[in-house]
Formats: sequence, C-alpha cells, structure tokens
Amino acid sequence: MQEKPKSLEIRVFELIGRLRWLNGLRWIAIAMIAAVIEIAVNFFGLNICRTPLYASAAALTAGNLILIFMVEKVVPVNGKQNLEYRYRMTTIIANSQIAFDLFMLTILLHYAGGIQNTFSFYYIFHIVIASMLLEPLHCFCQAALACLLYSGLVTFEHFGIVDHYSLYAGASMPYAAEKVNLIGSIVAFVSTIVFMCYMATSISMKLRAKENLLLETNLKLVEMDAKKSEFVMIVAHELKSPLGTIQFMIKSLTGGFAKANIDEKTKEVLAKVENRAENLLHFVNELLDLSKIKTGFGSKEFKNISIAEKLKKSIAALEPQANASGITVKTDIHGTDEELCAMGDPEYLENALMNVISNAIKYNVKDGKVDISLYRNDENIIFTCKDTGIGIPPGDIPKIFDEFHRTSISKKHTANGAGIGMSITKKIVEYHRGTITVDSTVGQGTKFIVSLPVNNIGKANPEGGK
Amino acid sequence: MSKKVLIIDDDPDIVETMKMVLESKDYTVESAVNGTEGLAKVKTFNPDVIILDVMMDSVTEGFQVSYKLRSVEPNSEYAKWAKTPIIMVSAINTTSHFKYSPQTDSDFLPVDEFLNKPIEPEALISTVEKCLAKTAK
Repeated sequence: MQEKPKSLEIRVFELIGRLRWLNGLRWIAIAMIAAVIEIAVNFFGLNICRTPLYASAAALTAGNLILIFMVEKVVPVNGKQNLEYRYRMTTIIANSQIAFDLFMLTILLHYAGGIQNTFSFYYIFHIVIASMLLEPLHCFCQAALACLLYSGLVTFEHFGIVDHYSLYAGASMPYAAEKVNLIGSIVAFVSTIVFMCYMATSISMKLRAKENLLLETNLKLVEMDAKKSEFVMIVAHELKSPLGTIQFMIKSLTGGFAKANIDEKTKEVLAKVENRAENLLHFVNELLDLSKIKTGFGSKEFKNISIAEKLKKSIAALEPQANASGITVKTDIHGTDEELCAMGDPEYLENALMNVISNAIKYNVKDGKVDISLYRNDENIIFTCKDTGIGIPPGDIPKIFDEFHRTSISKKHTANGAGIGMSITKKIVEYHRGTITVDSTVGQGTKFIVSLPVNNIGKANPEGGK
Repeated sequence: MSKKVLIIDDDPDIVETMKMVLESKDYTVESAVNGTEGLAKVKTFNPDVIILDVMMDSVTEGFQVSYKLRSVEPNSEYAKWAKTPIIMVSAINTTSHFKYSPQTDSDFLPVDEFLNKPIEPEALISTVEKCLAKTAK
C-alpha cells in the first residue's frame, strides 16, 4: 500500500509507541508467569517443574531487554534515516516481537502441560495485538505461525517426539492420549485463531483507513488555512498603499493646505471621510498583522527587551486616545527597566501590550479608569491591565481570543473594530511561551493578565502562532 | 527666494498632493516620475531638498538614486548635490517585512530623513523644514 509520507511518519511514530507499550506489557507478563507458577505449585499442588519455566521467564526478560534496545536505538524517533527505512525497521521489529512472544508462549506451555494447559487461550491476545501493529498479510503470517507452533507442540507431545510434562503427577497424558482430543484441540485452535485474525485485521484496517482519511482532511484544512492567510496578507497589502494615499490626501485638505477655502459643511464631511479612512487603515493593518503572524512568525531570534520600557512607550502612545474620552490611566511598575526584562521580539511584544491597553481604553465608560501594573514574579513578568469598562459577558469569555469575534455589547459600544486585536495578542503571547488570562464582570470591567517567562532563551515557540 | 523641493515619486496622486501641501508653505516644487528623470531634474532644477520614494517601478530604483547622489567619487557628475538633503518616503516601517531603523540604517541608505507612509502633511512639512535647517547651519 502506497501511503503518503506524512501518514507514514505518523504510522512509524504510532508503531514505536505501541511497541513501547508492548515492551511494558511484557514485564507484566513475566511477573504474572512467576505468580502463576507459584500459585499453581503452592495452592493447587500441580506437578510443575519450575526450573525450565523460570529459565523461560529469564529468556523472556533477556529478550524483552533486547527488544527495548531495538526499539529505542535501532529506530530513533527523530533519526536521520529516511522514512521508508524507519518504517521497514519498525515493521521488522514489530514482527519479531510478536513471533518471539508466540515462541515463548509455546515453550512455556510445553513445560507446563502442553495440551493440558488452558493458557493456550493467550495466543488470541497475540493475534489481536498483531492485527493492531502489523499489516494484514503479516498478521495472517503470524496467525499461521501460531497455528503451526501450537499444532506442532501438541502433535509432537502426543506422539512422544518431544517430552510431555504432565501437570498431574503420575497420570501421563490423560487427555492427549485420545486422538480425537488432539484433533479437536487443533481444529478448535486453528479455526479460532484464523477467524480472530480475520475479524481483528478487518476492523483495524477500517480504522486505519478512517484515520488516514481524517489525517488527509486535516492536512488539507491546514494547507487551506495557510493559503487563506496568505491571500488575506496579499489583499491587505494591496489595500494598504492606496488607503494611505487617500488618507494623506484627505488630511492635506482637512489640515488647511488647500489653496481654496473649504466651507464648514464640506469640512465636516471630510472629517468623516478621514475618520472612516483611518478606521479602514487600522483594520487593514490588523489584518496584515494577523495574517503575518499566521503565515509564520518565522523563527526570529529573541532579544532581551525591557518590558517596562515598552509598556511606558505604549502608554505614552495611547495617552491622546485616553485623554479624548477622559480616561485616567494609572501605572504601577514594580522594579527598574533593567529588572523587568524578558526575552522576546520587541515589535510583537509592543503590539501585544498596545492591543490590551487600547482595548481597555476603547471599551471603557466615559471618565473611566485603567489600572496597569507590571512586576516580576519568580521566573515571569506579569502585566495586568484592569479597566472600568463595559465588561465581557461570561458566554463570550472563551471566544474573545477567536479571530473576528466581537461581543454583542462591544458592538453596541463601538462600531469600529473587527475583533482581531485580542486574537493577535494571544498568538504573540503564546509565541513567547507566555499565558494570557481574562477576568471580567459585565458593567464593572475587565482584567487581563499576561505572564511572560523571563528566561525564554533562544528561539520562539514554533507552535505559538498557529 | 523660496526654497526648491524636488519630488521623485511614480504615484502622480501623491506627487500632486505633496505639491499642494508644500506650495501652501511657499516652496517651489518640481517632480519626476522615475529615477532617471529625477536625476536629470536634479541637474536642471537644482533643488534644496529631494523627496525620494523608495519603491518606484523597480524595487531598488529609490536606493539607486540615493547612491548616485551620494557617490563618494570626487568627479561624480552629481558631486554638486552630495550634500543636498534627501528625504526617503517609504512604507517600510515596524510592521513590514523589511527592517531598518532611521537611527541606525542611514549608513545603509545614504539619506538624511525618513518619512513613513501613510504620509502626514504636518510631518512632511516639518521634515522638509528640519532638512533645510540642517543645511542652513
């Protein structure tokens, strides 16, 4: 079956995970073997020769160690060998694990009564496990091996080709003496195993097909989302330049640079046009930021930045906006500029701080307050921004970081805004391995808490922007 | 005598608006739509300040004009204007892909001032005034 590289990679990863799980199970099995031997001898007085059984358990232990070594060393998860090779290797290891288990089970059965031992049911486990791990053909081969081993064991014991270790002292081969019993056992065994194998493989095949389908769909969606972001970026870029020109032209008129005098009514209309253009440009810039963040922050090297300095700068930039609505901004910075530093990207972090503060101003009531604090708490820089604004309804809180989500009350409060700012902020914070939380009561205000790790050494979180 | 400003920009709308703004402050303004025409106008018009759009038809056109005007060769044909202030207009700012800062990268781009897009008329005038004040010293 020709699988796509991505699904093959996941298959190898999964297979290795299951092999590890199987290795763990084997330790349990070894402990169980020892327990069963002791119980059978001490409580039921069965005639069991412990030495070969413990020797087999020891062999199983040694085998498990070798298999663990093979899983961990021969097929490194992030190894450089190509995928095909790794897949082949894991398949080989998985097959040898199953075959090894079947052999060991047969040996254990041989020294513990052969046909008398009802633990022969355990072959079924191995076949089920094989159907989970292996391709159908390999699974059928393993089933055939199980049939061969079991049938061989009981037949050889029956005809005395190998010794029979009876579980019951004195009575040798009480069941196996009957030929009909031998044939019955083999027929029942083979049919059970083959049927089991057929059912289990068909189910796991179906599951695997569905899994692949989901994976493919998911990959397609991711690809489409990336394309969409790229498209948005191109569109936003194309819009930005003419919008800037329009704004420059309007400002030149409203700023009184025109030769002719402009009457009041025209000025009023021009002011509205200017305002609209301003909002549109702001929106386009946000779209551009968002799509840029989504198409990949890139793997920028982080620099040591003074968050305190950035915060002061952001507050200063937003002061006119606050003054216009009569909002008092109170800042409480605990520590010096040098103390309140963190590793990060200066532009993105400033962008994030600006977004939070400008929202606190924008969605505030007239003559409201914004309380900002910044301090260091062990390994994190904590930035909080509390406003006396309109608040966020409880149902909206989980959604406020979604793209283009605006709460109903925010729409009533301000027509402007596209619901991008907080989404960008969250992506930036996560890109820096930080967290952002929100606490809000409608009508009372909202508090945002941003926590940024100080020792964010080296590169950015590659998953951050997704 | 009014000061002379040369605008080199391929967008006629921007040129016209800049002209309007600058003329309202009594500057004499001439314009050129590309680098070649701009360089020719430098010679004939002999401007006091040059406003240069960084990206015209080709991405590097603005850069090339600035390099030509700032050429260190003593017998360069533009040696006479080696000290004429250049204001570079660009959309390159903190949110774009390209990065330079006016503080550190005027070595990279041999210009005196940067004017970010979208242009603010007040900023345009103050930047021109700043350049002229520098040369007056």
